[in-house]
Amino acid sequence: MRADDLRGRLDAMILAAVEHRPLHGYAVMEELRARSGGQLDLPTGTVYPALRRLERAHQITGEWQTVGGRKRRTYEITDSGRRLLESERAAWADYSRLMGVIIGGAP
Amino acid sequence: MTASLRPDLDPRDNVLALLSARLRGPRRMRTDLLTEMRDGLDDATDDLLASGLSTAEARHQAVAEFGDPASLARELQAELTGVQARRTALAVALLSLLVEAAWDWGYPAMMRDYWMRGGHPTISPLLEPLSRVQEIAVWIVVPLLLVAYGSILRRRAALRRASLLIGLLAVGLLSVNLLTSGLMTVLNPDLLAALNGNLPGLLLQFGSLAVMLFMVLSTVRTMRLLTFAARPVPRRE
Repeated sequence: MRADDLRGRLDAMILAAVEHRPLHGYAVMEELRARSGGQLDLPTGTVYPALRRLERAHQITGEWQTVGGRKRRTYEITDSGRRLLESERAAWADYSRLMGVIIGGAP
Repeated sequence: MTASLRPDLDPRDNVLALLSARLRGPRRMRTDLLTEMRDGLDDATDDLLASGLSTAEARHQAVAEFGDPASLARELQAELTGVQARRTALAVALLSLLVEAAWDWGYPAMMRDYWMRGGHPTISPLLEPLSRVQEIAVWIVVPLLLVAYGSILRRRAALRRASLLIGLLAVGLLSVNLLTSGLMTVLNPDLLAALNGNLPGLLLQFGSLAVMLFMVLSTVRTMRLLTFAARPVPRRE
């Protein structure tokens, strides 16, 4: 999948990655890669501005932790982030259904 | 300041040096961002080492997968500028209201005290209109600053425009305040005499100057970051 196509949905993808447990930046990318079966082709650095963007909008919260002697900033989804994720999921389902009908040949 | 790639260095250090040279803004957030990205590059290197690559290969691969530092720096700089703009918006909005209220209360009290000490305050006909202009500017700009502050927090995409709006509003309000305050001081020859021996009045005068200086410095920082963020960023060779 092309990086440009993915960027527009990066915030929603990150919210989905941290939906069930707090993760640090690199772990978020790993989670997304794992979910995509290795097909996700985004530069790993792109996650950091996106995490800050989501944190600014109070959709996730970041906290510094020391794990194995290394300082890590882990991110957790907020209630506002969960609401946004639900609305993104609904919008994506509608979009996907629509595209399926228009260009996918689905009934 | 520019940074160039040094082949003798660890490629991860090279990327971080490039990013560090291209980021300006609140020191703590900047340091946190660089620490976080270093952590991510180290994690990526560890994973690649575990997959069988040599140390040098793993480091190069981790940097290659990290992406273009120039475009990353652009996005991160917008976030840093946004944080500074938020600070400026809050500082200018709240402190302008505070200074306005303090003078509304303090100036008549100061002149009353001057009169009771035998002074004869002369009132310039321009003082009232100048004070009104200052008041109107505060009441128009402060809500706009707070709206722009809120839009940065609520809307993920509004960052650059809201930061610019905050910078321009703060420059406008402070310019009006400095100009009108300066004129009101010049047109009021009794002010210095009224301040003489009046401790609350002196505190009000010097406190206002200190607060004004703080607001100007915060606004200058925001404008410098906006200018810095607007510079074309050279891409990595």
